[in-house]
Amino acid sequence: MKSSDVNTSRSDIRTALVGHGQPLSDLMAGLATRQNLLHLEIVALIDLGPADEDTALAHARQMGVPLIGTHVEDLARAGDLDLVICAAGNPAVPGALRRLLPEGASLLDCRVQPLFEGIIRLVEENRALRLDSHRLKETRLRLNTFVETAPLAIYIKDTSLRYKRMNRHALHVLGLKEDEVVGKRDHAIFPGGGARWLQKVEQETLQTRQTLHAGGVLPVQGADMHVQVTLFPIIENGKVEGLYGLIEDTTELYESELKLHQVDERLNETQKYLREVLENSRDIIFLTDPEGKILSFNSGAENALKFSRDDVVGTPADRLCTDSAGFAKLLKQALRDGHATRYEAEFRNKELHPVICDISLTLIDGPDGKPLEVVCLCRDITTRLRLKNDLIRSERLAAVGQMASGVAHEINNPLAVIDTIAGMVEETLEDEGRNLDASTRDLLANAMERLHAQVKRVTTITHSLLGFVRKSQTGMAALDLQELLEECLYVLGTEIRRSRTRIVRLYDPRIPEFRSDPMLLEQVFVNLIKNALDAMDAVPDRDPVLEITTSLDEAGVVVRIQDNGIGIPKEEQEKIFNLFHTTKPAGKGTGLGLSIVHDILYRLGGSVRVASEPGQWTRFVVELPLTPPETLRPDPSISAI
Amino acid sequence: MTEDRSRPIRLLLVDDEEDLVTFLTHRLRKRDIEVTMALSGGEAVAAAADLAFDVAIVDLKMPDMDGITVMEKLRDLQPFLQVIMLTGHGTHDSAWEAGRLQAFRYLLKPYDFEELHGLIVTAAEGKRRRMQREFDEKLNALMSSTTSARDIIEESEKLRREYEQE
Repeated sequence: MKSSDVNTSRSDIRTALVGHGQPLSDLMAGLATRQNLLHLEIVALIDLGPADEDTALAHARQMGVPLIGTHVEDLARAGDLDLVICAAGNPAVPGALRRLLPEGASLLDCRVQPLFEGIIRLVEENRALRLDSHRLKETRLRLNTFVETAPLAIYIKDTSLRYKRMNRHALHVLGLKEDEVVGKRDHAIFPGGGARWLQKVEQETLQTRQTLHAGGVLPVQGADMHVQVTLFPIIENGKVEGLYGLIEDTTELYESELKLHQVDERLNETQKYLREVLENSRDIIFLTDPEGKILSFNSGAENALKFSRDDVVGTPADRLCTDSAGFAKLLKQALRDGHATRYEAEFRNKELHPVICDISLTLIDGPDGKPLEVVCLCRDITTRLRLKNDLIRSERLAAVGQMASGVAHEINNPLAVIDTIAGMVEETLEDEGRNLDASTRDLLANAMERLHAQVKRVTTITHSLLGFVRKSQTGMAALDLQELLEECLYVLGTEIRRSRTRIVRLYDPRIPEFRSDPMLLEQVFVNLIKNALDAMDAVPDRDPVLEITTSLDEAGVVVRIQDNGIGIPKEEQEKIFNLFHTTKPAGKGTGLGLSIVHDILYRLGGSVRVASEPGQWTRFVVELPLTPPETLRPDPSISAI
Repeated sequence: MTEDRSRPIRLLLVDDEEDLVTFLTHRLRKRDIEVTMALSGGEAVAAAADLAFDVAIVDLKMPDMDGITVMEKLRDLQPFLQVIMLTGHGTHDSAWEAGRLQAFRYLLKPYDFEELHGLIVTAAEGKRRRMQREFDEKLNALMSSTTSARDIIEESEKLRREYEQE
């Protein structure tokens, strides 16, 4: 059917009638009244048995249908036909007609089918067919327009994967011209086999008849273009005819994804780094939930607090603190203000020893804005604090020492004068004394002796104030500790015998000779033993027992001097190493003894500490290194002078 | 030199404490020591410009100049002079400084008189020994470098006069 026919008589079916005799006459009679109803345009009549005044011919004339012949073969002269209706009694006629039927035309054999029923069915079929074909045409047209104008890169390939078409957008995207593409294969368009992956997927699409997706890189104008393709097979009448390809330029997407990936990676690395920093920090760092339960515990915390992660994770953090209520308060403050700090808070390690820390809590909110966790960063300042206290004491010692040495100087000068004069008087007495009577001479001699003795007493004080550590005779030498202690006991022999003190000696025979300053150490032990004797003197109803123990450990030698005397009140124990602090009644002690002991041992790289049960006993523990420091440490009492 | 052994020790006593200087001088003179008194560093330096001493006792802390400076100035004038540093103060640093300048001894007030006397005697002997040694060395050098006997005699006489210091 020609398109012009569609336009002029859209729904009429070009029909030729073939037959003879009565059947044809009947047909003509029927059609004459129903022709329009049936949308038939009867264009030709072939009367196989024409006779004058034949009824059929009369009808034809009346209907205006031309008689084009009297033989079956005359059908060829009928032109385009959609339908041939056969109304012949001779069964050979339909057979002959079928052979001569023009293309696209149907044959209706009135002899086989009831005439009108058949015609109606045919008409309907024909109509539907024409409608479909029309729609199909329109769809094709629309599809073509769409393909051409859509902002999508679309191409069509045939089964040999030659490009049949590429739309404007695709040409633009790929930087191609239509004549560079149509009829060509990929290898001619994309150099260096850059589109091989595409061809592979296309082959698969053709074989599997499936819609497939793929991504890859196409070399476009010297640069890599990242594309995503979607391939649809074109199937017509069950046969694969080619494919549609949809190309999407994803280079930007790819690059931003790549960037995102890199950012992600960097973020991961940063996080890893941060985790490692936190984990390996020497500071105590742990996380708690908003309720204060420990979530994590770094190795710094493990080291400082001696707890392992397993010990504490899941337990309340305030249990680590000596003042757990204080920690809870601090946590509350952090939850409220986002941050909270406390200085010199005391933790307790697993061995129940105090660990002094500066604590800083920082709240971390979750993505929902609610408190997620609290970072607890604690710096162990135990050592620093101890050093600070030592320094404070040293500074105080230095200040007091400076003042004392000034005072001592003022005293020493007149003292020297007094002593010189006393000596002179003594000498004069010796030389000229015979002029005096005996009792006067004895009195004066005795007086001069007492004067000397008193000067010596003052000298002891001023010299210990000044030069206790700086005696010219001091110096490092190898020493036998046991011998040294015995010498000290010998020096104090008179006092020990007078007080009937029992000495218990527990000397460790393994202690080797070691280098230190024997003169200074003698001062140390004489001072300590003298203190012990005084402390036992204060408890007259108890038999005095002095225990001297020596032992060896990794750090060096340890000397313990324990008495069963009056003891030292707890509040005094810390202060006894301070200058001028004395527990003895006025006039008995200078208050210099223990501060000297402390300073000497500090200079020799050792230490002294005290333990005491008031009213029961006191124990001084002296520790000395087996190898002395390279240089004596500065004397804290003079360093500031 | 050796024949001078009988000569009394000449001592310069420097201290701003007048009582100490007075009575210490009295006692030392009784022990046959020739004492020249000085109540300040300035006085001491002036005295040393006039008179040669075997030993000087110098107080470390005086108003006009400190003992170390006094010792340095005295040494400039009389290189063989032995100095005993005396002080009621005695800081570690000044003791070290005195040691560096080779003070013969560093003694803390109030001192033991007998100890001080002993030190003076030892110091004087030390000084004389050092002078003798140097005199001998120079004489030896002279002998080996000078040729004529007359030169030797002349030069050695010069040396003797220099070292006899009078």
